[in-house]
Amino acid sequence: MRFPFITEYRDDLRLLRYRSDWWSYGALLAVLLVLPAVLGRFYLGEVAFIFVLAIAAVGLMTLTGFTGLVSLGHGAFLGVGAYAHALLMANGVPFVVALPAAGVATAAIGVAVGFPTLRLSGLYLAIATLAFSVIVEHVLGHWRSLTGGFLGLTVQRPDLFGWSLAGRTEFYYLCLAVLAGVVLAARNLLRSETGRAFIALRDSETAAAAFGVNVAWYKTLAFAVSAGVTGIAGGLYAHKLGHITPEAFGLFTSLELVLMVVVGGLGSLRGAVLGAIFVGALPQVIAFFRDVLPKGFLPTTGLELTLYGGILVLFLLFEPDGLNGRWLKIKALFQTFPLYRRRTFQRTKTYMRSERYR
Amino acid sequence: MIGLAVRGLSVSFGGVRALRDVSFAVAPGEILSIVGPNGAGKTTVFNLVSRLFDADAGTITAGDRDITYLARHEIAAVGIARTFQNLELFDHASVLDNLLLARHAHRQSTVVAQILRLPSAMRAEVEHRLRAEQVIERFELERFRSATVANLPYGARKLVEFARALCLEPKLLLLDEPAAGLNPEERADLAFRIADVRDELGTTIVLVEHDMGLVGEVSDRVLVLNDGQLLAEGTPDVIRRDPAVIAAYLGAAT
Ligand SMILES: Nc1ncnc2c1ncn2[C@@H]1O[C@H](COP(=O)(O)OP(=O)(O)OP(=O)(O)O)[C@@H](O)[C@H]1O
Ligand SMILES: [Mg+2]
Repeated sequence: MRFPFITEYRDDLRLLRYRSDWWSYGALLAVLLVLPAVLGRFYLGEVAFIFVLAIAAVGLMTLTGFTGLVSLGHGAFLGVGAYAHALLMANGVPFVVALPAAGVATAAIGVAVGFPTLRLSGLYLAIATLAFSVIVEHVLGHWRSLTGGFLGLTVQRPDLFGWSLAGRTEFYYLCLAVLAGVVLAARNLLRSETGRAFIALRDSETAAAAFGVNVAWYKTLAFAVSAGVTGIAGGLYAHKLGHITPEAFGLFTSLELVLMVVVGGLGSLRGAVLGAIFVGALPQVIAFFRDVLPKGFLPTTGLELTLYGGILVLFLLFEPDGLNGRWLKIKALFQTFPLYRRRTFQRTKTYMRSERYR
Repeated sequence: MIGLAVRGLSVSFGGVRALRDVSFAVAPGEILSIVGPNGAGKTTVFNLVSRLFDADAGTITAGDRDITYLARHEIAAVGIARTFQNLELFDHASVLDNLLLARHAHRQSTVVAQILRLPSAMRAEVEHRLRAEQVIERFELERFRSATVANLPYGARKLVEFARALCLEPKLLLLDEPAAGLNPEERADLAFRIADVRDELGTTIVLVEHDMGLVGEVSDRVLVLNDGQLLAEGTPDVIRRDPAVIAAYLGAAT
């Protein structure tokens, strides 16, 4: 086990508390920075796409993993961000302004969804956000004068002060930078006063209110932050697609995002990123097996959805803490080797049983 | 430290008249215990004071402030903290984070300052941490500091809830059956801690408790509720000998 050496409370508030963290995160950053030099064009694009998914997953994680509010409508928030960004750019707004503006616009829509659904939770909230997602898809498909209907909208190429970001390498770095910024901002927010209020709402709304958390305000704020971040991801997603149509932001995308946060591990930002890697890489894995397995062995349609469902069930059954939980366990195994106990991460449940009869 | 005055409080849930015209007052710095058989309405008094429900009639005054119509999240800022009979902890957060959340009423930085970790946000964090550590030290919770609450044994969870309430720096503290489910050793510690909080911090305390030993040890005054009504009021010794109180308890037991 490692213990940080702390002489001041400020030491405990640092981003990286251990010396080894500097090494591991530094190494990760170095690898990500040189990746374009070693990776082929196709795979570089795929990695950039995973970054975009990871940004959206961080957005959903803030809402579902930290505030405990379920959303089946985040595909629609992604869409709102993508269309807002594409429309702003089409009207001559420069990229650096359009991307945050798309985030703000999506955050506003997030408030519009979050506020009326304040009293809902669990399944009811899932249904309400699902309805929202259907409405958005419908509006995007039918408001032809604005969105181009089902034919869609061609997205302008991104540039930064006249310097094109449309190339694979440039776009990769752009997505990496935005992801790093978003993760950092989310991490800071979630470990300060606001983030603790979110977590309190997730674990006990009654206690949260008793300690002064304005439930309506913070739930709405969580929706705004979550939608805003997802909207920024939407803006980048629009560039990735090049041409956006309403189908790209339907229920399937929402489900993919939910899969990311559950598989990654609810309540952890690292989980959001791991989940995005997992879900983002899945199509490549399927394609690989299609190539190596005999023809006709894998069905051509519906395979992904079935796999998603199966994976979701398996994780919920065997690793509710998700990939992040797995990661923590493996780390603990190495740190405490050979003293690791299998029960280290098991919850003490015994008291609960007696409690039930009181 | 503030007192509490409840006048003519009544509330019913459907057909159940949980409280009927209950009036009492707590002086600043006093420890008042509310006892009574199960279902007497003790927790309901706390729920009304912390504004989880609306009263049908009556007024509640904390210090010189009428809190009868405040929103439930405004109660913390008045300086009232409470614990819950059935534990309402933030189970999937650490003990430290549970304590830090209790500082919400004292929050001082903006969302933007928090995202950018501006000096104002950092100062706030350090200040909250300092307060939380003082409570951790007072309750000897050091070894649980970074443990997830859900992993703690029951007694420790009870203590964390008490500690969390204290982190608010309350002027009035409502403890709902803090001794329930504790072993004798933990119970003795608890009696000491309740008295200690009042003596050192001067906090006004209202205690709901079934353990008459504990009640006798720490309270200045005892209030007996039965079937939603005030039955008796007095010092612990007087209450223990009150025939009406004995009858109520024996009656409830049969
Ligand atoms: N939210 C509620 N909805 C409906 N009935 C309620 C509610 N809260 C309390 N009651 C009822 O009001 C009565 C008083 O309940 P209360 O919880 O205040 O009792 P108590 O004195 O705290 O009992 P105990 O010692 O068992 O904790 C009970 O009959 C209870 O069923
Ligand atoms: Mg009770």
